[in-house]
Amino acid sequence: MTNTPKLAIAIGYIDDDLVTSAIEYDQINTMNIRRRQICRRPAFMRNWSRLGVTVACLCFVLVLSGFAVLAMSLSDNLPAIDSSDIKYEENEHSNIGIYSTTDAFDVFGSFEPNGTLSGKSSTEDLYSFSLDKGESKTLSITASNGQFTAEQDIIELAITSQGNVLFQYICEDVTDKKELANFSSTENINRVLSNLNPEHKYEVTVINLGITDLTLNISINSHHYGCGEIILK
Amino acid sequence: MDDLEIIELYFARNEKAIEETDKKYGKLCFRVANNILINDEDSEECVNDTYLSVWNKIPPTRPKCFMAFICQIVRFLSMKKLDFNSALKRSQDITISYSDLEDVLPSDHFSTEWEYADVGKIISKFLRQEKEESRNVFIRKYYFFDSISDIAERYSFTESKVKNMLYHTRIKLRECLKKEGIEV
Repeated sequence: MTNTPKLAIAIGYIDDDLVTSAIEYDQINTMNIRRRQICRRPAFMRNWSRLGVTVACLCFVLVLSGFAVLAMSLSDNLPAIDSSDIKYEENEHSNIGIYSTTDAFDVFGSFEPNGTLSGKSSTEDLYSFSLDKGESKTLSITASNGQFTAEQDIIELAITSQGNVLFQYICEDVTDKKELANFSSTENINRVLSNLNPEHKYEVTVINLGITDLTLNISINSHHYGCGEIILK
Repeated sequence: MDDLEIIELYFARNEKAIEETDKKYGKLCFRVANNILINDEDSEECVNDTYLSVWNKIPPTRPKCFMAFICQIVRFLSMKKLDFNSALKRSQDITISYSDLEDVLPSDHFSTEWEYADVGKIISKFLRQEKEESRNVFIRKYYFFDSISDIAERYSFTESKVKNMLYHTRIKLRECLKKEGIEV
C-alpha cells in the first residue's frame, strides 16, 4: 500500500477493545439520544400546542376586532360620541405645567360684560355668555394687580359649542405680539392659561363661525384676592 | 448467534459461519468498506474477500473480539483496494482523512524499525488517555473513516465541534509519537 499513509495502516492495529467500545458507545449514545428525544417530545409538543393556542387566540381576537371595526364603520346607527366628554386642558405657554384645581382656589365671579372681573366667589360661579352667529368677542386679560402669581394662578376658559357650532379660538400675548393658539373647532374646549406673566397683557378672541349661538364660560382661579381682570371688548 | 458460536462454526469448518457472520456483521463491514471505497460493487467485493480471509484465518486464530477482528480485516482490504485503484477514485472524505494523518506523521518520517502493530499499541495507549468522546470520534474518523457530518449526527455534536476535537487529538497524537521516537 504505497499510497496509503503508514499512520492510517498503523491505526488499524489499535486494540480491539477500543474499536469495540467505539461501536458500543455509538449504540448506547444513539439509544440515549433517542430516549432523550422521546422524553423531550411531549414537552416540545406541549410547548408547540400552547404556542399554537396562543396564536390562534390572538388571531381570533384580531379578526373579531377587525370585524367589529368594519361593522361599526359601515353602520349608520353609530352611537354618537358626546363631545362634552372630551376635555382639553392645554396650556398656552410652552413652559407651563398644568396646575391642580383641587385646592380651594378663589374665583372672581362678579363679572360684568364690558367691565372688569372682580370680587370673590365660589368655583361654581363662572361667568357665562353667548355669541350670536357670526359674532366675535375678545377677552382682554391682565393678570396683574401686584399679587398675581404666575406659578399658582391660572385662567380657565370653557367654550361650550351646542349643536357642534364651528368657532375660531385665537389666543395671543399682546405685549410680546406672540400668537399662542389659533384653531377652529366644533367641539367643546376647555383652555387653561397658566404661568402668565403678570406684566403682560393677553387677548383671547372667539369668533362664532356657525349658524347658532355659542356659549362661553370664563373663570379666573387665583390664590389671591383682587388680582387679575378680564375685560370683554 | 453470539460471536463465540460463530467462531466455533469456523473451527468446525461449517459454511454456515460465513452466513452468520454476514447476518451479524454484513452491514458493518459494508459500511466500513464503503466509507473507504465509495463504491457499492467494490465494497461488496471487499466484504466477500473479508469473509474469505476470516475463513482462512480461523482456525488457527481465535480472535478475542470477533467484531474488531473482522473490522480490521475489512478495513485493511478496503484500503488495499483503494491503493490499488487510482488515487483519483478516492472520495473527498478519505482524502481528507489521509491528509490529516499525513500531517500528523508523514509516511517518509515513519521510522522503518517500527512495526505497524507496535505503533498501533502506542496509539492505543495514547487513545486510552483521551476522553471517551474524543477517543471514539477519533476512531470513527480514522479507523472507520466516517465523514464529519456522519460523526456529528451520530454523537449529536456540531460539525465544528467534531473538527475541533479531531484537531486537538491529532496535535496530541503528534506529540505523543514524537515522544515515543516514531518520527525519524
